[in-house]
Amino acid sequence: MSTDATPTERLLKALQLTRDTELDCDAFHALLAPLLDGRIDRTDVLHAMAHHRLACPECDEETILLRAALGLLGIPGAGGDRAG
Amino acid sequence: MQHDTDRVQAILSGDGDTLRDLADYLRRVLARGFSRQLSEADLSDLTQESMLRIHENIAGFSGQSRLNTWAAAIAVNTALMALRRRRHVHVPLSDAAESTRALMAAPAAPDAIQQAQVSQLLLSAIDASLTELQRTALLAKLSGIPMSEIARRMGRKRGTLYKLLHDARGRLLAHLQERGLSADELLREMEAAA
Repeated sequence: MSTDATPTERLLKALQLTRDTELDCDAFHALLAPLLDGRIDRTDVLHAMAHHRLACPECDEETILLRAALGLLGIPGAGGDRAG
Repeated sequence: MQHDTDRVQAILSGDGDTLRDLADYLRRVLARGFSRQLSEADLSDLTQESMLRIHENIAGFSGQSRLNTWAAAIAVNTALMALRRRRHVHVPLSDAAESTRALMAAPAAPDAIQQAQVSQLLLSAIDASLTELQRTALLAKLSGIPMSEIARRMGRKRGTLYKLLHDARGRLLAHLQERGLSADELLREMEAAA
């Protein structure tokens, strides 16, 4: 969502994304590391996480930063087995 | 190389080598992820804070992911929360909420009458259907204050705040529906008028 959007536009876009059932931020965080390690294969969970990233720019930013921080370390996959 | 199960045990028992290795790893993760935003002192502080959070939560590590990925997620979350707090430290939630309300209620410019009408409609829906807590949280969020910061100041978990706002969105949608309106339709009208 554009940062130039007015509060009214931001609210309407948030309303458009509303579903009856949504993952909250805590549930998303609990699944984030398994997601980046490729350990989630249930499509309903993957869809719920993708939807949460659309609805929550902060969790989306966190996912991108974490992926980058892990990827830039050159660890195979997203995470690593070693402490270094 | 230690297996994650052994590393968890080592962390729980306060094994110095394991804790140092993990702290070094997290410092490198943070340096890579936040190279432009964090000073050396920040890196030390946030690594230490991350290690504390890891120690507090390690018993709940389920093994659904690698330990390093789990720990890195905590470190990145810790750093992001600190940076967001820094950016918004001087803005009380109530002021942010009132600013958003004033912005939405501002008199329409001649070329933005449609937008002003939609804003007024939404403000009426907010006042009619949300609780005071929901109103403050929603309007503060619309002002750009991050969820993590709103949650911290309200003394709630981020997930709890998300649920509160999810319920608020549901109430607003129901309010619009009762009047034969939808978010899609209102957004289309605004975009057509722009």
